[in-house]
Amino acid sequence: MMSHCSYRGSYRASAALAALLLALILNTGPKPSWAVGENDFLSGKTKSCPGCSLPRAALKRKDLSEADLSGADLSGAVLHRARLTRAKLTGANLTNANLNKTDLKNASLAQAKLQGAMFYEADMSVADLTGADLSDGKMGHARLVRAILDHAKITAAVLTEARLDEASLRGVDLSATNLVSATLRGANLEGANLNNAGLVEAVLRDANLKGANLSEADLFGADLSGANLAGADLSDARLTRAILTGANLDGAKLSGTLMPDGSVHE
Amino acid sequence: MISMRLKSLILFGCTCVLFAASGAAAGAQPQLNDQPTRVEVWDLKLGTPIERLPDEFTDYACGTNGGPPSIPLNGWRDFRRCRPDAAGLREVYFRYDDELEYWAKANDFATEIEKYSGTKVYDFPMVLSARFDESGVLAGLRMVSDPRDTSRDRDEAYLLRNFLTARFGRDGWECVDLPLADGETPVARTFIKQRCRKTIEGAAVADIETHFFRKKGQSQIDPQSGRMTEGQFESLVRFELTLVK
Repeated sequence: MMSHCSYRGSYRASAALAALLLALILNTGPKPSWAVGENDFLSGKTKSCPGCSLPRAALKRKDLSEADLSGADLSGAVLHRARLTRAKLTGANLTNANLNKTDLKNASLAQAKLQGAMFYEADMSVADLTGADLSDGKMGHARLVRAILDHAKITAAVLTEARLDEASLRGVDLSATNLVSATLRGANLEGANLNNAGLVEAVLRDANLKGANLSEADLFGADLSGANLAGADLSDARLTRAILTGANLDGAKLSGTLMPDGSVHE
Repeated sequence: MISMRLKSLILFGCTCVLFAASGAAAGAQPQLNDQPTRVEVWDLKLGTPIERLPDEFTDYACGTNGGPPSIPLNGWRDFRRCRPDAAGLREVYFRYDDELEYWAKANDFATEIEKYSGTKVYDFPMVLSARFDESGVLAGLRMVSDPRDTSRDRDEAYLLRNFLTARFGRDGWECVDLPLADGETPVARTFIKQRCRKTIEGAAVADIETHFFRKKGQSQIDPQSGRMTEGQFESLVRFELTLVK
């Protein structure tokens, strides 16, 4: 890093940058003004700790229902089997946190940073995950029924056997995500990016995939009956043994698509 | 002008050092997906006062002589809610925490999933309990094969005996083969009904009872249908480690 430094800027710019970096570094340390709030939260005196610094906190099996942790740093925290129903985690940093078996029903996780977090068998039904970053998330067997995931980033994540029925996934980025055997009945995936997604045996019955990018997606044996695929990009996708009964393919791009009967669409 | 430039250079140098330091600090962050650890039954040392015992198990309840749990407890400290047995010890049932099991499932680590699923001793599903004396000192451990957990073939349950005798040393066991009771028969050609005892370093006594046979009324062939039966046998190990008074 040092090797890239060279004298270019003015004295004032350097001073400003130094001050900024110093402030950033000091910001990573413990904040005396927050210590009381964090201690009160960790000791169970309060469930309200918005903006708190709680990296790697041990919160396993805690009852945090309706807790306010919006904007908190919970990166690497262990929340295994914690109860977080209706918890406020808007904008929180839960990067690499362990949220396996948690109850997150109706929780607010909009704009939360959830990269690499584990949600195995978590119940996130009706949770708000609008704009959240779930890339590399491990969400196998998670329950996301009627969850709101509009414009969320869920790239390269694992959602095998997850339940996303009637979830709102408008404009979501699910590229390269593993959705094998996931159920998305009646889900709204309008404008979603499912490029290179694994959707083998996935159930997308009556799903809205209007304008979605399904190029190079693997839909082997997927159930797309009644799905709206109008204007969707299915180029180079694999639809072998997929069920398309009643599906709307108006204006869909099918260049190089491997069709259910085994033929390649030109 | 030179002075200004010098100051500027010094400041910029500081900036670079700070920038490098912040990078190093970020690099020094612990690995966030480290494998969690799990406390197991062997971490419970006989003679330990209750307040010094690891308290990271789950589903604490009063024990029923190695059977299913009875009155739920919040932890070891509630042990006095359990009735003392004939030896005056109070039995507390517990299970392993499943954090590691789900960590393995989330990461799709097949070996670890198998290793950490359920409450097992040497990969054999077991009902575990700790036994406390009146002063709250851990005076005994009890492990009995768990027939409710079907993750491993039940007919193998009796094989745990070999692992336990190896753990405490193959030599020095005093074993008694018990005779067949009324209606008891071997499984194929195997009949095991044995009690073994060993004093461990003068501080504790280890007792192992092993069963592998068919009880009265159990058979390989259903006399009504003539078909092969399933699960009609007893295969278990009952192990107790008790502090010598």
